[in-house]
Amino acid sequence: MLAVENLSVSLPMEGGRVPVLADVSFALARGESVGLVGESGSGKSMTALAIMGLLPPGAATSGRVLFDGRDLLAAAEPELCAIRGRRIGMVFQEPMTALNPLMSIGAQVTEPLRLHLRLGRAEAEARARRLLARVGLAQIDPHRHPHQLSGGQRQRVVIAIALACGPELLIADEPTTALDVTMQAQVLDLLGELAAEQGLALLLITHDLGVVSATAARVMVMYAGRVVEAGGTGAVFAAMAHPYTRALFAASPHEAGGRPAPIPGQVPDPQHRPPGCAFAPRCPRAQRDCVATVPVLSPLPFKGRGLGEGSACGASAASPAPSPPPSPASGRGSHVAACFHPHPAP
Amino acid sequence: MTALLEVAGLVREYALPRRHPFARAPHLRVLHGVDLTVPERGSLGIVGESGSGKSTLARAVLALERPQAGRVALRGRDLFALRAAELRAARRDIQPVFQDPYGSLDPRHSIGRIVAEPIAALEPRTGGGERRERVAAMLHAVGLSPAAADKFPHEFSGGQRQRIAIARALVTRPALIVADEPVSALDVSVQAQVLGLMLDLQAEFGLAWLFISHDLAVVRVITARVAVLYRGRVVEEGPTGAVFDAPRHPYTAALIAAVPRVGQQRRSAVSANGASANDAPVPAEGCAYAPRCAFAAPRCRTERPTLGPAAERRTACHLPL
Ligand SMILES: Nc1ncnc2c1ncn2[C@@H]1O[C@H](COP(=O)(O)OP(=O)(O)OP(=O)(O)O)[C@@H](O)[C@H]1O
Ligand SMILES: Nc1ncnc2c1ncn2[C@@H]1O[C@H](COP(=O)(O)OP(=O)(O)OP(=O)(O)O)[C@@H](O)[C@H]1O
Ligand code: SF4
Ligand SMILES: [Mg+2]
Ligand SMILES: [Mg+2]
Repeated sequence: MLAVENLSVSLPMEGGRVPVLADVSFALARGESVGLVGESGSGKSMTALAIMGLLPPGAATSGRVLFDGRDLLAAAEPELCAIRGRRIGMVFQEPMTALNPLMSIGAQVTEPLRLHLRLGRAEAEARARRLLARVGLAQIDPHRHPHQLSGGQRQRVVIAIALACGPELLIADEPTTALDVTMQAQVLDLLGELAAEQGLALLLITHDLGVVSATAARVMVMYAGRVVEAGGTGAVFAAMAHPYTRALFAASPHEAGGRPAPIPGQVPDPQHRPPGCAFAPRCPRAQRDCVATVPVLSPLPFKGRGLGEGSACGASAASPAPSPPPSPASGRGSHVAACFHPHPAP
Repeated sequence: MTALLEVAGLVREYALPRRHPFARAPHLRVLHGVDLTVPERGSLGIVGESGSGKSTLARAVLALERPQAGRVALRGRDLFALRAAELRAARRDIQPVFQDPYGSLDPRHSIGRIVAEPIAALEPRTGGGERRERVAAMLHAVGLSPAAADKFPHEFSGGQRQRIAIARALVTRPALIVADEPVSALDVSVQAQVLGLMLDLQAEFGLAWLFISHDLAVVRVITARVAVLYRGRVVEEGPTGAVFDAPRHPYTAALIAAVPRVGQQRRSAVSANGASANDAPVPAEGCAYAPRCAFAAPRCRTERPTLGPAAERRTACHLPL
């Protein structure tokens, strides 16, 4: 249903055009869910905005974003408008900016129903009440305004609005960060039900690895504008191959058990991305070859290179750095990583 | 010995929209008599589901909103009984850090001005030189260079902005920081940095934290004790590790079971008897959690359980686990 093919995005900045996304590819079928994780600034929101045609002014794109066979990157604004909010729902990262402070929450959920689905007032209001109940707000009077709600309640209103028109695809950027675990579970359960009942496909952007593991069948780890590891969620977390994925895991308070370990250094901003593997300056496994060329996504484990399963390490002087065959479209669920020295499978 | 912060019997109500212009505005009681203590240099975590009243509690402790009943005492002095000048002095001792690193810093002001803001507001007689020195010292303490003082918020990442918010909170050398979801908007790596910073600062400045978060793992890293809030009431309180490892209140147990972990199947949000999270009505009598509780007995529906007097561990439950 959604196929993103070699999506690259560059933005005008001081000193010229700067690439912020490079060669992002993935596919999403009906009822499927994919999790997108990575540190702040890695390009997660940019990926979502590119799919929705909401990139900042001056952005240049290449590649394709196929939704139901139509290339959204080539689509004109009126066509995108008809798709956004109706066939593709979007939960933006900052819930407060997504809500109108002057309008009651009931009216804000009703609005897209009347606008896109042309429902009558009574029908739209009844449907809005059902939606609010499904996100756990049955007890809240729809006449309340956003400032009369708690942070998590506001975030759930945003989710109800995104789901109002029964979209086929939901792009959710950090939809559960303001929610406690039980509420988070209820929202994720709801998305799961919609996937099963209506074939809702989900692109879930989050920094919570636990949420991805519990919700998404596949995961993509992004760093400095590229996908660096991808695959079935179970397979990836059972054998994290990319040093960056491991570092993210160790930084998570849920998984670290004890004081979590921050990843040393910072995500390079797009103007200052280092040559070769962008993670090399922060990577405990980096070797000289890492800074020479950009590693491409390659299937794991790398077999038959005489170095043992799962190891493509170029450190051994005898063997030159392997250049595994590129596989841009990280095919259905196969485990791939973009790293010259991946961790071997346990 | 008096505690640093003592909250007793705190009640907070909000007026809801009127149904029609001449109707009386209905009232919603959000905090039903909350009791808490934070010792000097202590740390208390507040956890609870969305809408349980955590932020409302923070606003009352910061004296930003006046409660309908109860007291908030700092070193034995009731904040709501103070005169304006005394309240200003007390405010130096309690400083906030909020969730949103984007919204909480004024984009038009330099970092130097933002960090100096509490000095300007609460210690207006401080000279410019001293002010600059203290700002530089605080920026250093949170790991930013003194040059940051001349920059503006948009030049910083989310994690750096949260460090700036912490520097601002520390600049009056408060005894207590009230942090409402201070790391929830940050990615895990930056979150780890900021949590590490908070732990270091606690030791270095002899700070106490009232640390509000819906994220149990974060609370576990930061706090010595934790209070679990359910629908505006503290239902369990005790040492953080002990409470999370062996919860006694069924609600605490449900909260812990719902935490998603890598490689674990998530438990359903629906509680044992089918009432889904926030939909359960709050009963007029008995235990507020009874409609969702798997263990509820007849007594739970008629008699309200209380937390009891201060103790190492307390649970407001007739049938603790
Ligand atoms: N409007 C913009 N103009 C120029 N650069 C931008 C703009 N928005 C984002 N960027 C840059 O693009 C890169 C990717 O940003 P993006 O917002 O996609 O990150 P993210 O992974 O969503 O991070 P977060 O977890 O903080 O939301 C970052 O380096 C960011 O600084
Ligand atoms: N100004 C207001 N008017 C009416 N009701 C309010 C107002 N502010 C908060 N409430 C209600 O009070 C309750 C407690 O809100 P509060 O913001 O304290 O919750 P919270 O525990 O911080 O939740 P979250 O985790 O979602 O931030 C909620 O049910 C909310 O709807
Ligand atoms: S390619 Fe090299 S630098 Fe990059 S993650 Fe792998 S080992 Fe580290
Ligand atoms: Mg983002
Ligand atoms: Mg809150």
